[in-house]
This record gives sequence, structure tokens and C-alpha cells, in this order.
Amino acid sequence: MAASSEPIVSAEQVTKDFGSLRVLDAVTLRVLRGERVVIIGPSGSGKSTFLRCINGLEPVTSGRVVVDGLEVGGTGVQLSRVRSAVGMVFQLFNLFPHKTALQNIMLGPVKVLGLSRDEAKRRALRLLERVGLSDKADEYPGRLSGGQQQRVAIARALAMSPKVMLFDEPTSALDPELVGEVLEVMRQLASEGMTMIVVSHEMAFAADIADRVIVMDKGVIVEEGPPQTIFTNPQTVRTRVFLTRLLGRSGKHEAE
Amino acid sequence: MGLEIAYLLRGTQVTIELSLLAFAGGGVLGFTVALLRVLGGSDVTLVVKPLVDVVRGSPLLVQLLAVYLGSSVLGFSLNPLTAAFVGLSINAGAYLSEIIRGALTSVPKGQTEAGLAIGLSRMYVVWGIVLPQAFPVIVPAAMGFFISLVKDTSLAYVLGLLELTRAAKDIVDRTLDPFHTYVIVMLIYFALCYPLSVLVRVVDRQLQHKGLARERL
Repeated sequence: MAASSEPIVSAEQVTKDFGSLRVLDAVTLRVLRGERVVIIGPSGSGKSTFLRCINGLEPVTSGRVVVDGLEVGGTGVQLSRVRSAVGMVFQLFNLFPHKTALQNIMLGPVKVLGLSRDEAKRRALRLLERVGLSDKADEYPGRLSGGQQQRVAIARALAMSPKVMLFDEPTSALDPELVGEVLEVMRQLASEGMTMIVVSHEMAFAADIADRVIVMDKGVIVEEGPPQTIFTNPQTVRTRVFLTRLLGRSGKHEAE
Repeated sequence: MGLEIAYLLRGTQVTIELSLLAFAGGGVLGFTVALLRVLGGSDVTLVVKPLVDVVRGSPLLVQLLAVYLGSSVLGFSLNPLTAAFVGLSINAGAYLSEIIRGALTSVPKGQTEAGLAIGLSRMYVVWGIVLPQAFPVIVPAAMGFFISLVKDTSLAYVLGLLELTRAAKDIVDRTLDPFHTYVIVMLIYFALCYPLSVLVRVVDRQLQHKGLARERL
């Protein structure tokens, strides 16, 4: 395990209500520097909302989140500091369609980190190379495949030199044949020691890269542990039901 | 006859000037209101929306009279041109704010979230990410609104402002020939508005084309 003993993300008793609906119910999670955590669970379990609480896209109803010593929330300036330390990759990529791949990546470094355009451009080109898209620097997102768009989105998040990367179902919107290229970039990132919190339905990937798997259901963490334990010897009924349903879709026979 | 045409052309000039001024005033007002509502959230909306609704839900003619006559009651009497400018600007501002706000909110929420997630300020996100994407929606709609604004300036004649419609009325009073006069005036308004509506179509097509070229192969 590459992780140190120091938590970089610590969520304490995080509760989130949407009106009368409780989406997160006192969720506590500490993620160590360099740790790779994969969150799984049925849809509507609060996984994505939890991820969005970590960079303050959703304000918490109660509880607190601290990232690298900074409390998430408060003034715009503080939120901006937290957010530039936390990279986020979205299910629908959310690249800026009126900007080229290069401009998408350069925007944060120039506007938030205050880098010069030359410096930001060098950084962006280096990142494009890292995600294997050097030749697409001047393309608009609309001319890229989903997989390419998501790789640019990862590069855009990395351009802020984040201390943690959040992935919100990064491959769910992709055609099956494009999933691999995105997972490959994420694998590489994991092998470089990046702290990652990933919401995903890719179980093989989770088993592969995760130090720890978190199972969420109905707004609470029902189980957590190393992937071997969670996938082969789940301790709770809810985890078993979820995994059986998930596997039932793709590999019924293996599950039996 | 020549005199009358010259008189109408002078009125036309005032109509054009008033249209442009009111559009500029309404644009600034509408933009400010739209940004305040989008950035300020529900508190601002609570205050601003009723104002916008009242302006949109009452006749422009009444608004012009309210500004003109109201100002003299309040002790700072505005001249007809200023009153028409203020009244039309407020009216245009209300409509343009809705056009702009609608266009801003039509941009997918994920765009705002992606901007915030890399640490950009809310202000920058609206200005640098959302607005450029809303622009292709705003421009043709605002131009379309400008065309009706040109026609709406005719209501300023009740304030005694010598714009095109008032000029026509003066001529009719003198020549007692409403038919020819008003047909000519209609044609002048048409000559002002029709090229604009053709322009709107062209611009709309251009913008869509450009948008599509980026969006899809």
C-alpha cells in the first residue's frame, strides 16, 4: 500500500438533505495520502453526492469535510483554494465546448493558479501527451470521441496539480469500446501515487487499483475493506445483494 | 410635399436615435438584472422578479405616461425625449433580462460545475464559460426584440416627442390627408425593420452553423 498514515481528505459525520430527502446520513470517511478508494453501491445510494461534498459542489447540511487541512465551505476564496487542490472528473466530461482541448486545460492554471500563458501551455501540452492526445491539442471537444473527451477532462483536472482526484463514474457515459482507454489513464495515475476517490461500477478496475472499497447504500457506508474481502467475502447482506445484481447483469455463471 | 417628407425624415431620425438609446439602456439594465439573478440566487430573485413581472405585465404606453407625468409630480420633470428613453429602457430591460437569463440557464449545469471544480470564481464561470455559450441564443433573440422596440417607440408620440409617428400626426393635422401620410409612415417603419429581420435570420443561421461545427462532426 502506497498510502501514508496522514489523512488528506477527512469527512466527519457528513449529512446532506435535499428538501426532506436525506441523501447522506452521517458519513465518515478518512482517505490517506496516496490511497486509492473506490466507492460502489446502487444508484441513488449517495455516492456521487458524497463526492461532490468533498469539493464543495454540494454544501453539506451538517458535518464537516477537511481537505489537506482546509475546511470545505466558507468564503468563495477558501472554496476556490480547496477546489484547486481537488481535481474532479465528471460522468459527462463537461469540457467547455467553446474552447479547444488545449484551452480547456490551460484555463485553470492561467486564471486560478496565475501561471503565464506560456507556462500553462507547456503544462497543458505535457498533460495531453500523458493522456495520449498530443495530436488533439487544437480540436474542439465536439470533434473528440467520448473517451478522448474524458482523457482531456482528466488532463484538465491534473493541470491544477491537485492533491486528490475525484472521479464521478468516469466511464458510465462511454461506449464500451472506449472505457479501456480511460481506465488505462486512471491506472497510470494510480501507479504514480495519486490519491484517488473513484465512484465506479467497473468492478474489475476497482479490484485492480483500490486499496479500499467502500460500499454505500441509502446514504450510509454499509461496508468497507480491501477489494478481495468485499468482492469475495462480503460481510453484509446489502453488499451481497448489490454485487449479485451487478454480476447478474454481466456474468451470471461466475456468480453462481 | 417636399417639406412634409423632410419633416417625416426628421421624425425618422428621432425614432432611430430613440430606438438605439433605449436598446443600449435596456441592454445594460437587462444584463445587470440577469447577472444579478443568476449570481445572486434566490434572495435577489425575490426582490427583482416582481419588478420584472410588473414591467412585463403592464402596457408600455402606461409606463411611458407614468415616467413622464410621474417625474413632474415628483419634482424633476423630464423632457419628452428623456422620459421616453427612461420608460423604453426600463421596459426593454425587463424583457432583455428574461432573454439573457433564459439563455444563461439553458447552458448545462455541468459547465458551471466543471468551472467551479477547477477553482474558478462564480463570477468568472458565468462571464467566461456560461455567457459565451449563451451568446448564440441571446444575439438573435435580442435583435428580434430590437425590431419590436423600433416599432414601440411610436408610443412616445403621446409624450409629444417629435418622432416619426408624431411627425405624421402633425402633417395630417395640417394636410387632412391621413391615408397617404400613414401609408408612407408604415413604409418607413417597414424599411427600418425589414432589413433587420432579414439580418436576424442570417445571423441566427450563422451562429447555429458555427455552433454545430464545434458540437458535432
